[in-house]
Amino acid sequence: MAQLLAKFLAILDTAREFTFEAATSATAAVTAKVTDIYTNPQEIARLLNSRTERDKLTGLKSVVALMARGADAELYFADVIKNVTSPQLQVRKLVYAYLLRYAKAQPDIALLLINSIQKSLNDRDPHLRALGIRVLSGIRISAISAIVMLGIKKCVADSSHIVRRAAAVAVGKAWEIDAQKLNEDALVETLKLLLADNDMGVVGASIVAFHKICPENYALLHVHYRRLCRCLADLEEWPQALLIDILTAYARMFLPKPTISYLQEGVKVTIALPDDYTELPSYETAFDPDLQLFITSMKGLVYSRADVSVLAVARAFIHLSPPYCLAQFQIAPALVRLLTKGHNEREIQCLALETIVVAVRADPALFAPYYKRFFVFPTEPLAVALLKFNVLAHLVNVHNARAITAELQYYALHATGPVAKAAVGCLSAVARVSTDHSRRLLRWLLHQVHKNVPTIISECLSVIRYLVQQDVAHHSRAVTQLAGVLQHSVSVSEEAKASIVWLLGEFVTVDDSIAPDVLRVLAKGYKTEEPQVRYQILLLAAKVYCQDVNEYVSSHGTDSFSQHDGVIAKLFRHILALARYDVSYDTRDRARMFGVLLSQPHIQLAALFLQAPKPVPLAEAKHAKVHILSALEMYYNSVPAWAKQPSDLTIRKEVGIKEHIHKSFQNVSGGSTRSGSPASDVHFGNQSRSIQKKAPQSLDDFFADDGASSSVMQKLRYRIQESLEEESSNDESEDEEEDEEEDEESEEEDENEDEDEKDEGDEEEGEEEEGEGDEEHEEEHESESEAEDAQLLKY
Amino acid sequence: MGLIEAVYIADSVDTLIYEHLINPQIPPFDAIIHKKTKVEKQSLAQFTKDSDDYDTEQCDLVRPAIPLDKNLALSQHTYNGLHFYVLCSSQRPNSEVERDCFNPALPFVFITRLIEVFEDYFGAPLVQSKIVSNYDTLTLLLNEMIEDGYPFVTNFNKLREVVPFKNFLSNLLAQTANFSSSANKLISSATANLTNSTPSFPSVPSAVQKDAIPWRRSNVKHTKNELFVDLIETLNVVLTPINTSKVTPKPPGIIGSAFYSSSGSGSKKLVPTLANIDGKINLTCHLTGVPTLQLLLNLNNFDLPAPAFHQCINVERWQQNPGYLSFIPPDGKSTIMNYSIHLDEAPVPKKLWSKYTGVMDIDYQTGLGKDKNEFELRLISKVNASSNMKSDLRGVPNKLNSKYVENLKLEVNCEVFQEKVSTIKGIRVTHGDFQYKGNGRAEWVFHKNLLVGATPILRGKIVSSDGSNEEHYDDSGSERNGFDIRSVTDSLSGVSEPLSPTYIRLQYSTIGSIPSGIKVESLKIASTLGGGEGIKPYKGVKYITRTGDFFIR
Repeated sequence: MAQLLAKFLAILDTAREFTFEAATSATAAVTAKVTDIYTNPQEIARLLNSRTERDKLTGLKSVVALMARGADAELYFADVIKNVTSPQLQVRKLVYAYLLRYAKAQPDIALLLINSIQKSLNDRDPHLRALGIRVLSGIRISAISAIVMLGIKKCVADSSHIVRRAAAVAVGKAWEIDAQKLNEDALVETLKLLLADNDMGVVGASIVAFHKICPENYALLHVHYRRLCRCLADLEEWPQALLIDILTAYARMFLPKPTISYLQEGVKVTIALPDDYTELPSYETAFDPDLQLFITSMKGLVYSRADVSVLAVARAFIHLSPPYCLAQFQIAPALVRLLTKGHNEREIQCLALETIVVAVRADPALFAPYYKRFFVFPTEPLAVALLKFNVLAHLVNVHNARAITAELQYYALHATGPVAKAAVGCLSAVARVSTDHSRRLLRWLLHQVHKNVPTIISECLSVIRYLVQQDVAHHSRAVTQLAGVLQHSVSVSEEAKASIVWLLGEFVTVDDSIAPDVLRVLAKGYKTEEPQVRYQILLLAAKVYCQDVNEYVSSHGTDSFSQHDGVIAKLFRHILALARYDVSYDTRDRARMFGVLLSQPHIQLAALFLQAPKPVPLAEAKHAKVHILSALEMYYNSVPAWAKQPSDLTIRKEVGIKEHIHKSFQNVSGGSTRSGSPASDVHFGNQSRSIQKKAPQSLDDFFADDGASSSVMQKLRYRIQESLEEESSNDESEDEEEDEEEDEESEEEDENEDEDEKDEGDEEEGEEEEGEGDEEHEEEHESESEAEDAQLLKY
Repeated sequence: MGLIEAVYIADSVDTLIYEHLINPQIPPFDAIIHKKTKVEKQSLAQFTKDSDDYDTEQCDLVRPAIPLDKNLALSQHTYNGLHFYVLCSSQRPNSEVERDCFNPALPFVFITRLIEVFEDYFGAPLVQSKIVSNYDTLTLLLNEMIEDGYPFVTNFNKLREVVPFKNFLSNLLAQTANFSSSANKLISSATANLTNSTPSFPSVPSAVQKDAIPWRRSNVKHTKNELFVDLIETLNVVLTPINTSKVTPKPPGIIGSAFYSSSGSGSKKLVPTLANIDGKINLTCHLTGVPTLQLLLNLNNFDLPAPAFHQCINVERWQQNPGYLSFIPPDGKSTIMNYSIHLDEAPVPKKLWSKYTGVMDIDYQTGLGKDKNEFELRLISKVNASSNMKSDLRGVPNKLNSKYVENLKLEVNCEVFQEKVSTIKGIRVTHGDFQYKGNGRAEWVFHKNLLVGATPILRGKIVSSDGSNEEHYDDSGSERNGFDIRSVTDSLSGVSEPLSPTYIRLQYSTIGSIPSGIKVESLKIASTLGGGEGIKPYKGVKYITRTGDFFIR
């Protein structure tokens, strides 16, 4: 017999193989052909009203195709929604998809469907129940607000986490359709329940809903803070990233700011986290235990493939910890990794770069080891190049200055215009490193100016100006060379020329040997110069003249001014005369001004005016101004300030989570109609997570620790159980679905404890958590909870 | 509304292919695109105004989100010539208050997931026709993926449970499979009862597996059990010539011979300025049940800084024991790990770098010829080089050798001074085709496979656009007769600057080895639950090298 069966089995197996093969080839053939999609309205209507499911499906597909192509498919509303009761799931789902899109346009007809959707909330299949509540809440008609509330209430107590998760989503949607916010309090209460769920999917969805309906209501999070921190890693990427943002804000609002302590002249100084770390010696950081918990919980997330989370983690660290933590927790390398993820994800690359720009401002040393990653490839877009230069400008130091300089100089000469310009601008940052580098850089820049590379010359000059201005006295040779450029090369651009003339003018106060001669040469060609240059020539003349007068006066006395009439004075008057008839009214105006200013009574004022030390142009400001990615800036800055007064530690005391597992066991053993699967609620992540054993701060905390399963605990519980035997047995007899087995019983007991150990103030919450089915049961307990509390305290 | 208002897919000219609206009240796609181009133009104008006279055409601005108005922002990602758009709102519903800013990476990661799902459902190269013929499935998918304006279920393994995969025929298939397997169960349990032997079925009820693993769909059944691991590494290298001593001008008589014997006198050596290897491990898993895999990698002494793992891999265990991965894989194709090795940061002495930069050695000379506007490229594919070197260095024999270099392509680029260049001529090309593509770009394309060991040589010449003499000189076709022609660059601007390519981009791929030498030491199925016990899958490991940014300059 057995052998026969085995044979039969084998035959069946081969048959199956055959079917598979045939089916795969058939599938391939079918997929190759474009599915029949009709566009004729009559035809579609006919299909939708057809009797066969197959025609209906084709009809629906055609309607969905219309929708997908951006056409208006509202025309078929009545025809489509008729099929909502179709036995075929796919048909129903397509109807739902259609309904979600057009329900608001035809609310009256849509209302007819509510009943049948409501019915699906009682379906055996949890997927269908979940779909039901999602669709119900997705029909954005405020008239059904109450029905949606009812549905949510039902689904929140569902045994399947899929349904509860959908309920959490529905909370957000119900809040939205409820225009008057009549149900807001009820929704927040529901959310409170859902946040306490033991399934991470449900918690994730309720976090999204929380963020939507009451992002400011942090009071809801107090009791869950520690648990949420611990299970951060088990969430899916979307709620995870959101939760990190929420907890970051929470930490800044309710947790004490970390303090850092360092030795200053042998004395230990402890201060709160400063804004600027550049001046600090090496220091140690002390975190609040709760903050520490959050920070360590994010540790593994930087290894996640979810880039959203990596960015959120980086943001959290930037806002919550001193910069060295970014290196310690591998955030710096993770951000750097995002840069090289291949070229399909340029946007992510840009965002990572922007994040690095933010982080590198706090501590350049963080990214110094990775400086080569910020070298620019020729094919990279401008935005990436600019951001990379920005980072390079920050992290250049003595060790890498040579390599970075060489690289930037390469870009300056070989890259396309904008990149080359930005590279030259970035070079000025190198000059900060050491005077040696600065000198070498100046030499190189002057060489480029001589070579007259058109794309970068004006950038070169502005960097030269920056370098020279920092230490005018030591750069006389450079200025002389610039003057040479002015005289010898014909094709220097207008801007460059103007820039050089300006620089010469600035130099007059230090060394007036070159400027007058340059002025003489320039005066000769005044009429052929461009307006910008003419203006600068006038300025130079004024400066030279002013200097000359000052010298004359200081050697001959104040009254001798009227006798001053040298070559320079004549030159100045000549240029003044020329400028008076300039085409540009700007120059004309300025000429008149200098004419008055540089006469007898005002000469002191003019000197003040013309010889005032000009601010050195900021090297960073030059290239940091390109802020293309404002979205990220906003994201980074959108954190609340640290709280002045951190909240009380006790508000974060944990409460028990809602155990659904137990109920579904009951269902199975009791043969209930609900088709909950036995262990469906065991979250996978729980297995891998190590059980944290904290020192119990209080008895409540001790019990609240959901991971605690020590033998002491067990004993304790059994003794409590004994003491409560009477009440428990009463309850059990009342509850039909109660299982007889002892381990089950103890589990039941566990839950009760979880419930009961709450403070009296939390009693209401406990009641709700119990769910509908157990209401009677709970009421019995309620009266005894005080007594139980007293019992607990004894042990 | 929530965060995401709509998802659009359009072709390369922004003609709508597919739209999925979360909020039915948003303006039509055309209006949005119109607005987008307007905003882009404006910001570009703003940008160019801010930064002097940047050439607007070169400003390839990458913007994560294009703000259309006060609260709508459009994110765009291009993939396979298709434009993916996600329209997000930044305003909280029912209130005038602006929402605190959402994670700007969200739309892009969402698009990435969307593409993953599409490719899982409709097959790898995502093309327009596949979208068009699957509107219904797509709509159902997006309905699951976005819920209340926020990404909901985006894992394709989980989506398969709720959205029918492919079409009804495969549904039928699954049903027959279910039927036959249940029949199977029935019969064998009957057999077990009869023979009183212990049933061979797992005691774990299948319901336990259901939903237990967030990244693996439940009740996986495959007739063909297969397991493929692909190690794909992308090389990003910049080679810079050192010893840039000017090639000493030679008397005309020698040039001719120097031209044919391609040994330039002023030899430059190419040295990698930077070299990094981006690696990823792709796993294609078609295994029945819930298997636990053990993958042991030989990391070749590299310590991978901050790799990124798929959700299924326990990071802590990796940190304790790098190279050892034990995990329950997702069904289908997925990237389980990304890593990046920067030779600069790795403990590799600089002189050994060339061993990790792939199979091609390049000899590159510029400033050749009389006018110094010729260049010569010799490609030397290292025969078994990577393996030999590695065995010397790391003591790991590498048996996998590449036989062919595939899709070899070189791009000679002079775009920076393209107005000066009229064409780039290939004077001597030993393999493949050399063609000038315009705008200062030329390509040297090889046939599909190039046997390792060949040494293709290219001698090219950059012909200046202003030299009318030069044209004539080229038409004559004889190189050695043109001694009397003045150097064009000299005539141009009095500065003697030899023309040489700005950079050369090298592209190729090889199968059989990867530059880092990381290897799969072993791949085992540690245990299987849920019906896949005792299966012996076909296992395969593949090593693929590609070049990303491989530049010679």
